[in-house]
Amino acid sequence: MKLNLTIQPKLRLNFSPLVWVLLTLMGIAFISAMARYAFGIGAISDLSYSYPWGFWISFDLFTGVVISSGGFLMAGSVYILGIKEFQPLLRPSVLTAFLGYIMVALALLVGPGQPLRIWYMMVHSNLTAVSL
Amino acid sequence: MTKTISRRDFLKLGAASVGALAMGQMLPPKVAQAARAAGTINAEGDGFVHSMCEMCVWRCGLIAKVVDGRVVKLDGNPEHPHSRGNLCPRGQSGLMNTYDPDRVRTPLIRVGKRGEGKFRQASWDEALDLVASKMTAIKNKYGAEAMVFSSTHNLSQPLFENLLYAFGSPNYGTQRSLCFNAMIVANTMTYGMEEPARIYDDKLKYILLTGRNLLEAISTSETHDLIMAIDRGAKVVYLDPRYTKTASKATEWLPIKPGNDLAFHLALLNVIIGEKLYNRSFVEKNTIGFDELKKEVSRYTPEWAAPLTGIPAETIARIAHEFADAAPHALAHNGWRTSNFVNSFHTQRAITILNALMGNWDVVLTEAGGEESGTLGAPAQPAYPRISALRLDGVPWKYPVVPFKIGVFQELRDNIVSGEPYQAHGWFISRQNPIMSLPDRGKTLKAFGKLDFIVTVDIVLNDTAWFSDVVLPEASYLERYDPLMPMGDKVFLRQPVIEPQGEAKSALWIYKQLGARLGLGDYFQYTDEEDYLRQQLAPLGVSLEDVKAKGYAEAPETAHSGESSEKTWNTPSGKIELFSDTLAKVGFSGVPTWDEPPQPDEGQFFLLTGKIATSTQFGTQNNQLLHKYSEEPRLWMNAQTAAELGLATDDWVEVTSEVGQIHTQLLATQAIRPDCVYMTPGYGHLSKGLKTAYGVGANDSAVHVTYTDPISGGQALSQTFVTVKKA
Amino acid sequence: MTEIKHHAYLFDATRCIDCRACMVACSVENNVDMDKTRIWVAGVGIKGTYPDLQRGTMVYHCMHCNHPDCMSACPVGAYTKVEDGPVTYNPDLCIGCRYCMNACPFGVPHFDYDKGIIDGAFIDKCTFCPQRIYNGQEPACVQTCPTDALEYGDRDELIKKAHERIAAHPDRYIDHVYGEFENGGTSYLILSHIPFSALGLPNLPETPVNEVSEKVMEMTIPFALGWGAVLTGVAAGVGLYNKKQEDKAAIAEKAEAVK
Repeated sequence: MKLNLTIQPKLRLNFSPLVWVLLTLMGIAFISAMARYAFGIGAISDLSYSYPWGFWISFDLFTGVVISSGGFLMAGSVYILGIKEFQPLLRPSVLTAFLGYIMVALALLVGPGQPLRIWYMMVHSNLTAVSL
Repeated sequence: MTKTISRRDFLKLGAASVGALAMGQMLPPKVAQAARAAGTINAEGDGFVHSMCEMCVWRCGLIAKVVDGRVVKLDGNPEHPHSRGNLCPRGQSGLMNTYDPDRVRTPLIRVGKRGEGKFRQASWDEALDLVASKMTAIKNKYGAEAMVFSSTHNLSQPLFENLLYAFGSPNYGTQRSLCFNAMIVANTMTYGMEEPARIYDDKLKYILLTGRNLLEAISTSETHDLIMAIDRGAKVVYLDPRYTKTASKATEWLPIKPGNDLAFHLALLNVIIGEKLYNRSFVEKNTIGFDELKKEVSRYTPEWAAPLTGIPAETIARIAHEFADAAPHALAHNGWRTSNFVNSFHTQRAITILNALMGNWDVVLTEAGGEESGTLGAPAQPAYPRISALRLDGVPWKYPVVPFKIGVFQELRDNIVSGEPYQAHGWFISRQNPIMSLPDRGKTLKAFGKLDFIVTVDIVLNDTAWFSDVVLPEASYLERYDPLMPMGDKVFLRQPVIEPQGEAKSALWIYKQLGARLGLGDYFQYTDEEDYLRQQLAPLGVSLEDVKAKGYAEAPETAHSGESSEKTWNTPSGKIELFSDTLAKVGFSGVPTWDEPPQPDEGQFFLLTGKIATSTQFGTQNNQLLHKYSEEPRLWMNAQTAAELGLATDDWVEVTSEVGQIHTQLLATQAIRPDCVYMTPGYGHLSKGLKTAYGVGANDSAVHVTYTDPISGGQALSQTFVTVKKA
Repeated sequence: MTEIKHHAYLFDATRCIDCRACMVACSVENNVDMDKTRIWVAGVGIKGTYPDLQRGTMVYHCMHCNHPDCMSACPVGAYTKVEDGPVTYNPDLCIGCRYCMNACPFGVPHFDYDKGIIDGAFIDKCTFCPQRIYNGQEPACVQTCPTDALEYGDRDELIKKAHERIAAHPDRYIDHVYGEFENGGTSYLILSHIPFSALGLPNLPETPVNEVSEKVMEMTIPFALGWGAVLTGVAAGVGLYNKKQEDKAAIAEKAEAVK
């Protein structure tokens, strides 16, 4: 049988239901972020004078950083301690870690009052600050 | 009950508008030409101007900081005896009254129905011509007396009186019968003066306050004096059915039953006279009527007073002894708003007499400086026309001992409604808000309905302006000149800091313009405000420019009568009258006597009102800065009583009296007697022209019943009984 | 007036009548937004049951600590402690991270929760009215206080004054000047007739917290470099060891192949 090489494959968004759910959540999050830029962070979160960080920080930053710890351990095991058996696990875990940190960075674009000034931390550093 | 205001919810109570303070951002800045001319403001519009506050009647001297033609800060003038460099929260917020976005900027003439708030803008000429023609028409048809004039006493009052007396009307309403008639008439009967000045010095050891919540009804310098006295260790005994802020600082708080201050003071007199604790030599030399007094108070024992007041007899006797021990460095404070019960006049007499018996004259009390200094000049004017008509407020034909200058304002309103002895047809209101200040708001609105023409002079569309036919915009106190104010050995100036917003004008200008159109120009012989002031300053030999720079001029003090030993008082006998023949002659008791106050029935409460630090009567609720920091106005009820009635804080309740009903929210608190409820006065505005104040709180005058004391004409504001139930 | 070496406030809770003149004055002087305040009321409110009642109020704003926690925590160094007392804040550096809000034991800095990206969301707090104190005037809140509950002057003199006042009325005051030593000392000193904790003030040790945290933080970079060196060493060591094992295995293999 001859292969028909001229058939154009139809473009299908063949996502699984879970991906659709996640895409919807991303959409909602994007709208929230826009609302934050327009109306301030008080409009999308329950942060107040008594709770300046609250759940926002614990979820955003801590989960993002915690996910990334797996990547550190993997990379450390493979490259520093030389345990080659973990090599196949390295890529996925480093990817997850990278995504975790991306999430943290995105959170830092929405959380602080002046996200466009985030680079000030590099230039005007206060070296004794615990936040360092 | 612990109520800690954490910062979290602190501002939830007050914030009306979010965003930056709209201070003059809507209107172009125009610094006062006069200040520029005087050099107090430079070419860039920066500088400092000395003037006087008008956020209450204490009139503290202030220094206004002007930047780029805008008032940006007010500070107290250290050289003014009423401020001593401090300003209370209302004084600090004063520039927001001036920059209130709801200011009336042009004369307004009503086009809709009264109360709809539909006005059209008009020029001054049109408005003044209309007012003059209406007033003249009323005069020609019904007589000058059919035109009623009322104003809350202020620095321009002499010119207001010019207008009304020259017009020929006897009907003069002031706010005084809603405030301190009892005190003034009592002092007049006893000492022959309206109100002695109080001396708070290092030696003052004992202060007996009957009401007079000085730490909330702030009179800047006197509030300071009281705190300093407490600081030094003076004992303060404070009578009030509520645990106010003054109660919290007083040495002893007595939660006295309302209406029974009189019983307390009569019992004090009983102990002091009965146990001979009074200053015998002073009494013999300077008073008359001691024997009549002694006979009268002999039956008012502390045991008699205890069940009436709710204060134990031993406490009353002890206080009498303590007061006598501390004398003459002991002060029985008259109070200020003494229009509480019909028997308040006798309470005031008892307090005044208590001071006299202890001989503390010239120690803690002395003659106050007059408000019109004898040394200031005044424009020439012809004599007033003879007025033969009776006054609608019953002075003196119903109230024989009430001074003319004070009158009985609520009676005036009542007789506009009743039409007896004749019907009034017009009302000229200047700087006053009778719809909110008079008890029984419904009746005041009825009075409005009886009138053909109502004109109001005000700076915002307060409730009274809202219901008027013509509104004339007055310049706020930071925008105008007023006649000089003598105080001690100085006379103080109020001068414009900025030019008025829109077309607002000073009262001096308005009265003169109106006077001219009424054919009364001869009574306003000054070309403008500065000319008036120059005429006032002429005898002092000081130029207006010098006064503008400092804010005051030195003036010889009104002569005081000298040492106690040779003192005479301005009474018919020349002495302090413990027994007043004047009162006896017209059929009242010459000495203070017991007058049983009415009691609430089962299920009723005394309705109390009282001042707070962040508002002044009825005119400041629209001030955004004060609104920001004010507590939400609530109905206070004793927590125990509320629990028994099944009510809790934040519940909406219906408060009903025999004249009206209001809805408001409850605050269950420990700080009030179980038989009383309290409302903050001045809320519940009807005018939609007050965008910040409209819809906030409930109106107390809607439920107040009108009761008048026949002797002093004072309204009995605490004698209203209400029921409270869940709405 | 004697020269002021270290600007400070003295607040006497027995004189404060909760009139809020200080707050209105501050709002006007510093053009504070309508939905914010730099001074606020704290305190017991009314305590007890009718008629045995007690009341305590206190107003406070930034304590202008001698060892500010906010300054220590700010990652961009937006806070500075000026030599003569005030703790200043530079809105041009602020990134809005709100760390200072966590760090301040008094809950002083407050944040624009309602500002978007265009207006910019900043921290706000009392600035000690530099436009007034460096021109011979008192701060706005002090100048207007009708009862002299708030006073202003040199810190050492105010501490002396406070102790004198306690000595003159020992039954009235708690024998302690709050802020003299708390958190390393503050420039807002408080006298009170009721326990300070009842006024909402935290019980702080004399050593400021940030002294401890800064000592730890100082070690961060050396620690990071050190640990990096350690890990590099380990990695190198492990690598060498593995290489040796590999070489050994390779030699063994070769020997096997030759056989």
